[in-house]
Amino acid sequence: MDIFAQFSANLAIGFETAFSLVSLGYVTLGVLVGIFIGVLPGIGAVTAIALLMPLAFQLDATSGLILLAGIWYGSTFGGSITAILLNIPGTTSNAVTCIDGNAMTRQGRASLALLTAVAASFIGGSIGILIIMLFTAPIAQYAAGFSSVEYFSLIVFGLVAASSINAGSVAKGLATVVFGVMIGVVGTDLYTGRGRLTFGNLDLMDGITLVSVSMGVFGVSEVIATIKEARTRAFDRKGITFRAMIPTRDEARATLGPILRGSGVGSFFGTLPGTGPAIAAFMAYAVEGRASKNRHALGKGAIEGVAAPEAANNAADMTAFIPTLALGIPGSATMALMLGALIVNGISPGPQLMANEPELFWGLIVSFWIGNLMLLVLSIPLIGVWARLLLVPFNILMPAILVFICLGAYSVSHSATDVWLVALLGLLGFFARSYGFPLAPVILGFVLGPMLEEHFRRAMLISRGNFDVFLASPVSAVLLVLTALILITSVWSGLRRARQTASEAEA
Amino acid sequence: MKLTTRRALSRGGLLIAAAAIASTLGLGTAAAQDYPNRPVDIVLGFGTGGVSDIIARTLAPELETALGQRFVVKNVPGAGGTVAAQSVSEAGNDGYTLLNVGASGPIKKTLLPNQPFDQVDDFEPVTPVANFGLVVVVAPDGQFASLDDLVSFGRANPGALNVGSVQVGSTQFLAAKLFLGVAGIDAVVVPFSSTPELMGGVARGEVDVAFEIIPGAKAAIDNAQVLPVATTMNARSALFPDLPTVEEAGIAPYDVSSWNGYSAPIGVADEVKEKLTTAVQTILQMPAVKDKLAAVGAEPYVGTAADMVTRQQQETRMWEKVIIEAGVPIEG
Repeated sequence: MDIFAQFSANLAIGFETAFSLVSLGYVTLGVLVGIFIGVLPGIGAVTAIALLMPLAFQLDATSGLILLAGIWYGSTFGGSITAILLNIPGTTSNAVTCIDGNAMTRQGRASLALLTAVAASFIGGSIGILIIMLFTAPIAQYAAGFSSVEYFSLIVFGLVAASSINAGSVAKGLATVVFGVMIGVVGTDLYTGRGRLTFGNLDLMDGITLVSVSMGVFGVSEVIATIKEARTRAFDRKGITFRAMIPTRDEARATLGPILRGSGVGSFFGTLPGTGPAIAAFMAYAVEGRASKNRHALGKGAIEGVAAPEAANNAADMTAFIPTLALGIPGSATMALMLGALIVNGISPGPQLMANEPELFWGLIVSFWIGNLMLLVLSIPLIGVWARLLLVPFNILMPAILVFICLGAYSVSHSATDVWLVALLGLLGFFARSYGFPLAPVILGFVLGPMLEEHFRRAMLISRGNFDVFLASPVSAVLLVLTALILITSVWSGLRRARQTASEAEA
Repeated sequence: MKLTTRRALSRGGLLIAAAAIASTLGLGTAAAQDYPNRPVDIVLGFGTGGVSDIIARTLAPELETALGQRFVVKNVPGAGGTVAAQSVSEAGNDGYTLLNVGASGPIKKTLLPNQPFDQVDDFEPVTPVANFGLVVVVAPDGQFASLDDLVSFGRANPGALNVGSVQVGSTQFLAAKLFLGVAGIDAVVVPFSSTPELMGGVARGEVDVAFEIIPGAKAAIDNAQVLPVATTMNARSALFPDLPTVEEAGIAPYDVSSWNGYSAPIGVADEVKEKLTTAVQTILQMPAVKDKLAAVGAEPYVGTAADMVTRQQQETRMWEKVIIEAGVPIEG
């Protein structure tokens, strides 16, 4: 009872702070700006937050953070709109949503896909918020204990588990992962300070940004594909009516499992610094590939393929605040900027934050929920409006998108090299997709490959080259055993399938 | 007055050229005397949110009050600061465009000999701004409670210690290498990709000790995530007056700190430099500003432009030696 009394007292503080007129204003502003920049491909939360940082410095810590956080989770939702309608992810977190979301659009089910994204985002976000409210302290403690050894095993597990995303050729899937890893290692090697694959270019010393990769590989390549096919994309106009948005009972039931699983996966990956919402969405999709009853329809316009990743990325957006606020470990560039907004006001993030700054912590959490509710309320009536984006002639829409992509790539580090990289990666992405290479694994390799290397080399450096460390840690040992199990079962089922085909051929 | 002349000539016209000649004959000092008569840009070679950015944004409104013109903080990230350096270099040496420079300048002179713009050689100091001391931190309940413990263990067990630091070639990394060299300890330096990860690595005992600038380590210290055991300047830090210096623990000579200041392309009028230095130094002593600096882990860098020149030269020599001895790769 005591814990309950304290919890409701904390909530009361939170509601008092978040329901002030000022806070409500900043939440609304943040979410609106977030949706807007999320819809624009290329321009994501990092850019918008960096631009608004000077303004946030003028505000008190709570208002500043409420505003920046609204942009952060608003953009993740907004990004799903472009992903679903145009097959171009508005933000990197929505890359996976493209696969089934856009397939649904082509089937004339755009409004339903958008509604699924809104609902999944809201539920995912709410579950993430609940987890922050109840478990911030224990999760932060647990995550803080993850050393390079545990990270290495977790990433190996994630890469193997996510390899199921690729339904087509295994060799092509592997090739794209390796390509992602290769562009990921460009830049200064952390352990020696030497440039790798930089060709003496100072811009490349800083590495290639995630925005360049995701917007090039997904965005530009899609624009080129549109030109090549010169398609007017005659799609079913019924798909954008209000009525088309309402799911059938079966469809509604089919999304529940994926949303809950996606929220769980997303909440977990959000708490781990370095992985974040993009990887959370991939993992949620990979989980559906194994757990969903409807897994064979994934990739062909399955509603599960929209629900799971969109629930996951929003849940991860929320739980990403756990390590940031409770440990002072920002999981991403965006979170690092938010930490800056705290520090400039003389507030030290860390385990003491919840006790020392209850108004800030609980006010922020309650504002998240208001913000998510606002996403829901603002978005549902607007779905028809967004869907009308498809009515814009492509010869006007696509050049505009290219401009936004270039702006977004340039704004990350004010470097023209990044814009050239977007163009180059776009061409490569276009050829890759023309020859049937899956594009999603590029992002996976790009984010996880360098992390895998970083943690493996650190673990080796510290253990002086002793591999036993990976089995000595219980967490790491369990993860590696699970990885081995997944590998064995997939090889076994592959063999069985081969035998089946062989016997069918005989018969 | 080189710039005045160039600008005037570019507009063409004899009359203006004549005026330019007049200005080289002494009227130019009048221009320096009524400095500033238009807004001044402070250009930073990185994004918003860092400690130097926070300090610049703290100083800007105070400078406006003191000198009567707007001071605009501009973030120009890209190519490790080269884009910012280029834009300031093109803006000229009239003192209306200042470049934020720091401890990385002297290091990069050795590490990146071919960089297109060099903070030390292509710019001259206008005013020092802030010092960021380094702090040596260990795990709060680990086997080391003081720097002495650590040094005696390290000397008795060659190759056993793991020393954490941020990226190779940073002040922090070189400070760790210099420490090991002066103390005569054989240890492995383990680079981390960010300060929070490094602090986590110390807290859970992945590395035994870390060298980090105070602004970076402050949150972890405030939350008792890590235990500070020493500071690295030759005098005690005003932010941690109870902590001994590395030299007090018998590791000498050892005087390391990070810092920042504002520079401009070579040839800034002395009046402009003096005016800016006086204003900045006065502002740095204002209690509210001092508090703000302390909150982010910085201290006022008391001194003149000439002090900054000396420091850049000294640090260039000191780090060149460390870089070569430690075998840090030079991108030549």
